[in-house]
Amino acid sequence: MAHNVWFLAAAWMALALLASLISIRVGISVALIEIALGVLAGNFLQLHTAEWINFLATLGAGLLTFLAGAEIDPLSLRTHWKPAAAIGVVSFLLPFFVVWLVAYRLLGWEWHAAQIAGIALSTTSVAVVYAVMVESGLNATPMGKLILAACFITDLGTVLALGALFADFKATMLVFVGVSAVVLLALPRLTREIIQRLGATRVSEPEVKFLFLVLFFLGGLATWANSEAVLPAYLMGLVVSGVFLRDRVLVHRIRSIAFALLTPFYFIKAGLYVALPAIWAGAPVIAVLLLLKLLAKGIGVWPTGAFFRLPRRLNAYTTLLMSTGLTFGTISALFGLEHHTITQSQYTMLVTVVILSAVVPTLIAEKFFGPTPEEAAFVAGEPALTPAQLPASRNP
Amino acid sequence: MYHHIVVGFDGSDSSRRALQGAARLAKLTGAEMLVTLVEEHLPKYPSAMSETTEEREAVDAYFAELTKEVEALGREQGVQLGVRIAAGNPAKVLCDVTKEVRADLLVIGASGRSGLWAGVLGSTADRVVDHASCSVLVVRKVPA
Repeated sequence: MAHNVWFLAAAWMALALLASLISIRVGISVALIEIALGVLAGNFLQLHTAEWINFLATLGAGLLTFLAGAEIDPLSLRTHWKPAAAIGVVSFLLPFFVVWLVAYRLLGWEWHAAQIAGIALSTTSVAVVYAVMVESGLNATPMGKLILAACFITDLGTVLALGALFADFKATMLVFVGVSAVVLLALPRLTREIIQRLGATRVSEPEVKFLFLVLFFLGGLATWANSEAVLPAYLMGLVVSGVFLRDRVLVHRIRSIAFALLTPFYFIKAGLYVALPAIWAGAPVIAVLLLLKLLAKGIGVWPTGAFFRLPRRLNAYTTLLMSTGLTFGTISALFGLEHHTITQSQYTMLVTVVILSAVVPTLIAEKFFGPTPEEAAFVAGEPALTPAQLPASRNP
Repeated sequence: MYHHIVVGFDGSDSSRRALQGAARLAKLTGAEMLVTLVEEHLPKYPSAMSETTEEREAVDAYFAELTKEVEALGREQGVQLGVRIAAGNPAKVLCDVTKEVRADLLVIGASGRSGLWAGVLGSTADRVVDHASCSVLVVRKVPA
């Protein structure tokens, strides 16, 4: 019975459904609940994966990455280019190098395992940041858009590192880079044309299939070149973000497919490999890594924010938000585990730190540094607004 | 007596009773009303931005209906009222709004969460009564 595909699928979907129900009840994202249920199922129910589950999980991670890239507002990125790039780059580089070196030198992790730790803990979760900012109303302000743009830059660093650090720089890499560049250049125009010619409401969904085709093809090229499929997925998302901004239906369809059928397999699988005994045994390392991520983000982002004259509380808020992580952190850790770069206990520690980094900085930011309307209306590089210039409250 | 009344409204029967009670009180006292709708169910720690945006779009559509209902009640009762939509924990949002607009009365319904959650976490009404900066009127259903 354990090898019956339908029963196995039913078991995984039962967990996914349970995760949705719990998520709706407690108001915590379904991703975190799926990881938690995956942990329980892996440790107590001996739930196992199969080749086809791994495939669906891989597609789920790819689609999540694509959506992360596609959700950027290109105009915000252009408008806040300088501060966003500065904050985003230090927010990636400092934690990456600090965690890498500490994991290698002090924790005794192997070179490549330490690199995975650096990548997994360098990320910033744009989705978590956005959700926090919606509650403070910051998401609609120039400052909020700047922070989101900075998050995208940080994540770009993460996917570039994941795609480049473990790749073989041979002829296959040249082919991958060359073909990807051509495809990515043509993709926005081709996507727009397909939508314009065929409409975005056909039941045969040609525009969704077209994007899936490109995603799978570039993912295949990346894997062939020994790189990582999330790299072209994120870049694909970035280049079609302008199209997605106008066509909300397309985003909704892709997100529905991803969240109903693919990402549950990814997040449950991500939880499945977490070994509970390794959490207790690795608690001190987990604490050190979490502290290290927060400190490294602080050392990098705080002075950069101060350079762009962010008010003190808003700078602290920004620094804490840039310290969050979730999806790309787990993707990086799972990449390391599946390529036998890190052990299961190292994976457990990294995923635990990643989840804690989604929760701890947001709690501190919301509790102690929630921006006032004056701070929320701040525009980097410009004088603070007077009360009369503040945006009106969100009345319909 | 009262000059600024804040009301928490989420479309539930309980909050509707609070809204109607507050409107009658505002009419009697000539107070201004600010009806606050709280987007409570946006997911924490999402894995994609669209998780938040799509939940929010659904909530916004629902709140647009509630806003029409509130405005109709204001016209019907001849009460001057405003509507504010905010996201977050309802108890915290209501206390913050009350403080911000210097309200002298906050009106809420008695029940919100299920018995299980209210037992474990305390209901929104419990927390508002504990933390609000002004008087709080908790409207209960009068037994028939």
